[in-house]
Amino acid sequence: MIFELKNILWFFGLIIIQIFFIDALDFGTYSSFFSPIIISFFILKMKLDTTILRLLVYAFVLGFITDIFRNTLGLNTSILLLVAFLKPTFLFSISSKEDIEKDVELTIFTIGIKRFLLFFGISIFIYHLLFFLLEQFSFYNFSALFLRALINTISGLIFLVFLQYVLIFKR
Amino acid sequence: MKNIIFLIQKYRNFLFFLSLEFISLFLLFSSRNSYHHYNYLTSSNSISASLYSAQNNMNSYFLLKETNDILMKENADLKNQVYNKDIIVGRKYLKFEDTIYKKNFLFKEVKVINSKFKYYENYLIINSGSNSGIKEKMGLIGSKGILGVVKNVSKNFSTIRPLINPNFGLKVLHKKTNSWGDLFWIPEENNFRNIFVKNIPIYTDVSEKDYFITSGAEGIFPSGITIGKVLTIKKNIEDQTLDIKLEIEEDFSNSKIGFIVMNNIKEELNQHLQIK
Repeated sequence: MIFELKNILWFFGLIIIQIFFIDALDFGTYSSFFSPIIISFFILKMKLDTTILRLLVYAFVLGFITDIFRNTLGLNTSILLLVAFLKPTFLFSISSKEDIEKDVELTIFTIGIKRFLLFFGISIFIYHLLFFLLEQFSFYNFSALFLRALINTISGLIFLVFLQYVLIFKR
Repeated sequence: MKNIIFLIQKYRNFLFFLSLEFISLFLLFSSRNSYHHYNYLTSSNSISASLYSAQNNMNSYFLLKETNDILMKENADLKNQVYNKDIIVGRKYLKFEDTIYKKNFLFKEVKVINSKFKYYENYLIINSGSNSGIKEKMGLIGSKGILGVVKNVSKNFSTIRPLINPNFGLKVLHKKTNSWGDLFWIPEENNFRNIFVKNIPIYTDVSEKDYFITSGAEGIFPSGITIGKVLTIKKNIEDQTLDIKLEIEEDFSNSKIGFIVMNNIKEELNQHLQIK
């Protein structure tokens, strides 16, 4: 019960942080490099014993709400679905199945900083790369796009680490 | 039959994923191509727009001083016009009683409550909608230059397609020589402070810091409103045209006030535009 309540808070909290805080940040000319999309954190941090069906439903609703706010109907949704479906693939490509307990949330405190950076780094980088590609719908100026995805990933990771130290209490 | 059910059961995760992905991609591509569909699923719907306006309410306190400065300047400008032209100031509208503007354009003041400027398809949201008489394809001008065109209207809010959107198109004039050009915003090469003007003949005498203005041809904007000034000029030998980069007058990262342009003789003008 408490777990469900926590999940609901994270769900709406992440949407609010994404839309009213990160999207509103203004870094002048370089703004497009510092506008990471962190909503995928909700899907990625889910416990390992959550079924894929449930993950997909979460991803669809989360992406859909974000898309309505950002006026990009279907864009975040489609990529979030893909990330939710490929989450086990990403996770087990960097660690073995026995290393991670099935009933804990995947945060910086439970899986360690090295594995956190690798797992979230890969997933969020692929999220951004696909997002920008689908948004642009061509391979024009790919190197600039790749750089944008990379820098956005790094800034997103920094923000997520910061967010977890602030919001998750260690026992 | 049994085998098919077994197959579906085995791959039910993948099939579910495929169906959801199909729905979202369908939404993505159909919403890009159509102008009128999915009115409720955009950011000008009442729930998301009212949340945005709450955010704007909070943020506007921090920007009071800058907004004040802009308004002071605008006031001074308007005062200049009052003394130079005969203007009747109504309760909500400024009516120009000039021979050129003769009851042609009405201006309604609006607040920009949200501005997306760092993405691919950018947009603005303003705090008036169909209740205030705003319709699609009306122009929005800021205090310095033009901002965009109304794309989507709900009861109390509207979404604006700004200059800095790849789907925006407008005919513009070079102020000095009256040459026609087309505005293009290319997201891979431009940021929110600059924009391209193309299709200007190569022999045109354009120099840096020249101004480009609206032509007024489509009836969306009055003629003579500033768009921006020239930053760089490149010659395109193949097409015998100039590729000109403009610095946009209006700063989209902090535009807070704007004026909707209502054209009273738009329908009459449209009849002529359709004849060709």
